[in-house]
Amino acid sequence: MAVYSVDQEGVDDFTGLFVGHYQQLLRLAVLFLGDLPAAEDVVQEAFIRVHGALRRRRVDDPVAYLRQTVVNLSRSDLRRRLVARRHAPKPMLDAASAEDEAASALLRQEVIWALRSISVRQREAIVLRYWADLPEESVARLMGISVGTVKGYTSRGLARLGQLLGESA
Amino acid sequence: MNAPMDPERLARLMEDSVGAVRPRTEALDLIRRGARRRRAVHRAAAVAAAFAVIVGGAIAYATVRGSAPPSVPATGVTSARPPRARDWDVDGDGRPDSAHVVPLGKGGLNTKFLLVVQMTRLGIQKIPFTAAPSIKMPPAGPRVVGSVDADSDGRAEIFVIVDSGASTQTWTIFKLVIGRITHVTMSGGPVQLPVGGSVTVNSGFSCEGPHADLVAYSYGAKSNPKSWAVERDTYRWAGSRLVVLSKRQQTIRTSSTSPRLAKYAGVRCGDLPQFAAP
Repeated sequence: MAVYSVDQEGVDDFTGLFVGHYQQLLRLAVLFLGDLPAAEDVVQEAFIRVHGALRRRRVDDPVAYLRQTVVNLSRSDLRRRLVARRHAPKPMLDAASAEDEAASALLRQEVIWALRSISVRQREAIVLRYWADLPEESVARLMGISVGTVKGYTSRGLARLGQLLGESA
Repeated sequence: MNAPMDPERLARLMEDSVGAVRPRTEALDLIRRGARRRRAVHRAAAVAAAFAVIVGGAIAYATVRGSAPPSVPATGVTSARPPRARDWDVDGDGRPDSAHVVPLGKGGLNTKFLLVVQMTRLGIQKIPFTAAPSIKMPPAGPRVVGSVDADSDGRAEIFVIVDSGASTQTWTIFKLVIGRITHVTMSGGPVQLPVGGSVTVNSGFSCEGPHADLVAYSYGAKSNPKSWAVERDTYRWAGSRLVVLSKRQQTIRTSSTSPRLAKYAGVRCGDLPQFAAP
């Protein structure tokens, strides 16, 4: 397992942590939130927190720390309905970046719409289990619930997604 | 009859849906800057806490000795919110500062600009930003519309119009954060607040609530006559960011000239103009 640290100047293998995991965590947050700017906020905040934690003490598994923080912050954001502002009449010229194009493409994705239609817990369980490919025990630990409950969430979530996405029997 | 989703197919769909998501080029820099700011805030909080302990100890000591407790100096440790700064007091020293916009490009269409802020305490600071393209400025192009203490932190924020057209303007905000003029962000990008519009669609914002939250609002006509979709999004200031507290949407039935509708349009924030001249 990689061990990361941050020195006083912050010039260290934190960059390696960012390069190795930022994109995956950003995608994870996008699947949770269905919203790219909010996902960027969440993942940025998670990295800031792990940066602070690494300065204060040894963190054996910063990737797990980051993933847990992303799950928690995404949940908090959803609770506070932290979604992107939709009513700016015209974006600034340079705002039409690749990220924004990705964001509009995202909204067109049926699966994103379907994920947003199921419960937060079902979505977390399904994304962590089937997209992040984590074992049920890890999903349970991340969500703070039992393995049995994870199974329940994934089973009900898959059934609901089958309805929403029109899976034929 | 629909079957449960096949997990493998679902995994592929999810992978496809986020395959285009890439980190912003400046993401690592933003994180490092955020981490530095967080450390500075923690240091300041520790100093404030230590000071509060010293002051508290002095009060307790004086009370035990039977004398009147000394008055607590206005340090910001005990008071929740400093009084609002005067307009244009960007650095909070009680004296007016100034700001103007200059184009960065030479000739042709400009989209890159520089906000130049002249502060009496901190001197000149320049911050680049982007705005709608402009050939001639002034009068075209982005411009500073005013400076008021919108978040009631004792320092005035600078409001700049970065785009305008169809009777609607887009305003953005700059503020002093830990000694640096910073472009305020919202939902991962620079603040963009639509102001104005037409009879059927209009927008604005206010900063006059009890918590100095920034409330962005808008209305739009629905197909049903006299029926309007209104929105009200509340943001709380967090350093150089505006974080969503709540988003409220509802439909109201009223005429287009009703005061009920008018409160969802225009700016209500200190001395900023309700609608800036085009």
